[in-house]
Amino acid sequence: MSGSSLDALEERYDRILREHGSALRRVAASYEREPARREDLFQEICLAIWRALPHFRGEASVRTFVFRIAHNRGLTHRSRRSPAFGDLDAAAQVADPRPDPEREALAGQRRDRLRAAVLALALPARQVLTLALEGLSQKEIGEVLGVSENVVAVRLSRARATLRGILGAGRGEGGMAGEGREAAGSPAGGRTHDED
Amino acid sequence: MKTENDRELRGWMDEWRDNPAPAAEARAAILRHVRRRSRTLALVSAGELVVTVLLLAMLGTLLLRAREPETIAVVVAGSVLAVGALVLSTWNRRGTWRPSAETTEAFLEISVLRCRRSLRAVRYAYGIMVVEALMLVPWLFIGIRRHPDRRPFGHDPYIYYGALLAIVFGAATLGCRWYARRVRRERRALQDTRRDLVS
Repeated sequence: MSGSSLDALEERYDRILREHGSALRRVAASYEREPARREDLFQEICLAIWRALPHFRGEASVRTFVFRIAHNRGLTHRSRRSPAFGDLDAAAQVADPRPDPEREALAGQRRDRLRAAVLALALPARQVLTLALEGLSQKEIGEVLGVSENVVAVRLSRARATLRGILGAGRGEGGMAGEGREAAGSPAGGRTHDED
Repeated sequence: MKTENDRELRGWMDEWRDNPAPAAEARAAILRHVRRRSRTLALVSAGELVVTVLLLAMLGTLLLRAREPETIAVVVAGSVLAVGALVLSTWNRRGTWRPSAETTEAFLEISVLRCRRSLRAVRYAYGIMVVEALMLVPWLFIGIRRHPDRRPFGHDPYIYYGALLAIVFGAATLGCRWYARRVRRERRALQDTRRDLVS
């Protein structure tokens, strides 16, 4: 690769990180709860984007391209992870019955609660919901995941209902108690995440 | 999806996106990291070719020094096997490159295919080990019979070379089994994911 094309590539890459870097971190967070492994996943996503970027010919939007790679890396991470890790601690976090008033007072508590609740969703629901929360249209979500808009609409509707249930149950019980159970009872996106 | 009219989703989006974009310094660090990792991955990808070239160079040197016909035969057969293994490995990976920007569905399909190919590569590796053993054992046997006075490091040559072969092939077999188990687990997880996403 010549110096000028490498510079152009680096500039493009930097723009992607500037515009989507925080979203990529959130995608990583939707697949991995443990901070060190989440950071590893984020770096894997960044690496995959860097390696795929020279072959990107603009067939889809940059946003679609970036989210496809991020979710695909997330799936690889999930499939290679030891079954003993990850899911259980996420479920434990969501289903922790102990109220914690000090934590309740923290500024990021609502965000953390939302993220824990999203992480508790089953994978199909979690994927569409996280993409919707990033502001992607149903058409774009379909392009990222390779499913029709109808499928996206159905999954999103169920995911929202499940999430509403989880968050509602959390508020009702003074914490996140029962959220895992709520998720488990829902028809779609219902199982507490990553039961495989 | 009319986000602007959807207060619930809007509220969740605000909470969800409550983390800052990486600063210029952090982006530069990420770029340095991915460039370094990219170079490492390129070296690893080229590793198979490099190992084959080194092996062929070593076998070529042996061939120039070889006097006994069985040694010449084993060196030539080893060279053919090394080139064959490289060709087989390259052929086995066809169609599985750069899937990361595909749709999730296509990506999962290629990932499962990659796992199948990896398991096939393990089977090839077992086959190559059998062929190597079939070449090396008679060659060693003939060599020992030809030079009965040679005692490697003072040991009985049958025990010495037998133990050496057992250790090398045993370690390779254990490595293959460990790798195959890991790939099977990954394939199961990918198939479960695909089933989850399709249902």
